[in-house]
Amino acid sequence: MAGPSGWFFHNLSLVARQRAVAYLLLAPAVIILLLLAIYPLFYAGVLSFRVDPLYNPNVARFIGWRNFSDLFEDERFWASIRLTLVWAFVVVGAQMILGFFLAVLLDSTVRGIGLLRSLIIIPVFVSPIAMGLNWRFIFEPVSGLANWILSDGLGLEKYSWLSHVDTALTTLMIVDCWQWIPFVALILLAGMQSISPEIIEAARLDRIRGIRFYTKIVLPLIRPVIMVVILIRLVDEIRMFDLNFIMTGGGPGSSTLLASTYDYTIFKHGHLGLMAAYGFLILILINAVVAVFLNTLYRSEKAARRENLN
Amino acid sequence: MKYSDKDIHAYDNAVRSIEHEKKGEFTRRKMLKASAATLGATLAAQFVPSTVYGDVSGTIVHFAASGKRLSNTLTAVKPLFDKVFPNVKLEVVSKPVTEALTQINTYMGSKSSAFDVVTQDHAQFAALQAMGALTDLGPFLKGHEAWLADYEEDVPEMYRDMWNIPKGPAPPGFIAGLAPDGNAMMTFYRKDVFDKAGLKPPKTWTEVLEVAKEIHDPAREQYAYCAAMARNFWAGYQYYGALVSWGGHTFVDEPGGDFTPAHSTEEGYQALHHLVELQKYAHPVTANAGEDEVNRVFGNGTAMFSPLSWGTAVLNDASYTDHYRDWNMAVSPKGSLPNSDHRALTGGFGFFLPTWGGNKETAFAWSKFMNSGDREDIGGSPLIADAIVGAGGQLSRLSTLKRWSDRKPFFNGLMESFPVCVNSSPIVPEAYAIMGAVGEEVADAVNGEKSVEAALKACDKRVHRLMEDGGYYS
Repeated sequence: MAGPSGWFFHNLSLVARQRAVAYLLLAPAVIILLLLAIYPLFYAGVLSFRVDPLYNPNVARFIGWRNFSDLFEDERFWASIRLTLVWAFVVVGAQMILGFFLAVLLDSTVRGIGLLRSLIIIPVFVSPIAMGLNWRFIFEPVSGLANWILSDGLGLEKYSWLSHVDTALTTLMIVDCWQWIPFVALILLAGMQSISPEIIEAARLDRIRGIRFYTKIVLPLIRPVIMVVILIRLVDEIRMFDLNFIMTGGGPGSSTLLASTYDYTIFKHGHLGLMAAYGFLILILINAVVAVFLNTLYRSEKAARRENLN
Repeated sequence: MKYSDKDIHAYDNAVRSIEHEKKGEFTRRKMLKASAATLGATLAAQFVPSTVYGDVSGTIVHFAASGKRLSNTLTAVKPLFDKVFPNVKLEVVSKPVTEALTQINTYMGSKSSAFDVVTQDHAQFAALQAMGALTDLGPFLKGHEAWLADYEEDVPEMYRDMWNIPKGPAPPGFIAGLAPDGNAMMTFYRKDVFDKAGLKPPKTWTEVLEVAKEIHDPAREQYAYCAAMARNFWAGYQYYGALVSWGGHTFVDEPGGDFTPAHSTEEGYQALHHLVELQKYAHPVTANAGEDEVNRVFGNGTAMFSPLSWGTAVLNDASYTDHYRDWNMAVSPKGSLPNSDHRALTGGFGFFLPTWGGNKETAFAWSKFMNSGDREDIGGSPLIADAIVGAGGQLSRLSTLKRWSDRKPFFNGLMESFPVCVNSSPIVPEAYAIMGAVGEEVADAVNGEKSVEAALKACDKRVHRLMEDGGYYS
């Protein structure tokens, strides 16, 4: 095979030439990565040690760790981190449980199930902004559709949905689950359908049916799929911004102020340094959750394998 | 000059409208209902400019937040401007208002040359000055002395002063912007509901609570009160509107001085306490409402009044609400402490020419055109102001406000409030950041997440940090 020509390559050994080609091919991706990911990350790192107000560049300066200490002293910061973790675990938990039940329903062979499978994925493709705006109108406290159904349709009391500190977060969770349960269900369904028919047949012969079939056969076999879905959803939910921003903007008060929305608020107020510092802390939080999760996953996989060997 | 399909469509509509007008059918109400472009084309067809500047050419790009009061007014006036400057291409770029204000600062922070004219909120002008983004309009005003004299006579002094940054003497001081738009925080009330209950618009905060209690009837979906209490600057402005009426200030020794924050004061307490008390009679959206949500529930007839609302002329717009005749406005209430008085926060959007923009002369000509006034002998025309008002705008020119006041009670409220106006925020680059920080604490207090005292203490702490970062205490 003819190698690359040119004076540079002629003077190189075959191994060095192959290595040079590899670097050359990697270069565009690396350059793009450096420009669009590494440099901004580095810049954000520098920014997090500065006061750099968007509204007054004349007073920009290095202030050491003060942005971080300001955040640690800020009760709203801790509240937003707590809320984000609660949000992520509750919402992912609900999505996994309900998504699994939906997957079981979709796993049936009744007529029209193919069409249903296609339709059910639609919420995932809807833009969160458009969806959020629609849901906001649906949950409008006086003239919204949800309360109209409750009061005029069912004769029940109207509910405050997004307009009260006690109910706004739950309402937001409902909408997020509505969007992502189908995604979880379809991935789990794919996992279920990849289970070997022989195993299912063997289970039938052993008269393993109903709940036992799912707890003893299906769930253990699709465990790796479940873990991947949980990981994807957890990271996504910790980073949650669009739906939160468009539906409540973190309010009423600070009752739905998730981490990313709070970080955006800090940017909106023009505090670029503080925003960068908070961004880094969110990054650390996500990495910590992922690390803990992957570690748990690795340990449990290892234990399961050991159990199988025994 | 080539016309697009849109232009031709607008022209057709304009011709039709003129025919209606000849028959006496194109009433002011119809004008209020017409779309901005159609309205502009209609008025342009009647507009005979005293001078046409055919030798001026080029493109000017104007950035403004979208909405009736903002980008729509530009769209409506454009066809008239095109007749005076036939070889100038004017492009209007708009973004949703919630994000536009921050975006403008981001553009200016990066010294963007993308825009030649920008519409920005008054509270941001000191920040723009700190960024070096403002162009002094003084030199451009030379040769327009007659127009300037008319502008000074017609626009209240307080309003003209708002655009002199740093605040200084009237021209030839640094004039940062011209103000085709005027606003003030006022009491908004449904006159029909108040009349039926035998009530007058409240003049004091004690009366505000009494009135709210009287007309609150959630069982009939008649909520007494609504205000923009969403966290960040919405709630911040509500609080500041109340604070100044109780005689309070952002800083202990405003204006100037050592910038010591002054929220944990009797004035601050009374202001926030009354807002918290009002929540008992609030429309449910109040808890997290921006101005759009407030106007929507005012418009759909489920909320009846607000002691402090920026509002817009939209509530007197027949195309927006069936209650357009019922919404009246009055000067905002006062507190009962020794320094309390009726004080209305000023607001409004001004045009500025970014330092890095191009076509400055033409951009200034456009800015001035939007501020033309009615006098035809100095290049103005009532049609220009009519286009702005018809599109949903609200001017600071008293002549226009008076001319339209029979159709728009909002303008009566503005005229009543102008003499008692005070700056909506201190003229410092930190103004918006202060409002945002304070607004977060206020929203927490109003929604019961914090006590009034704790919220005010947090306001002081956060404002102090902002000013410290700005180098005010060194």
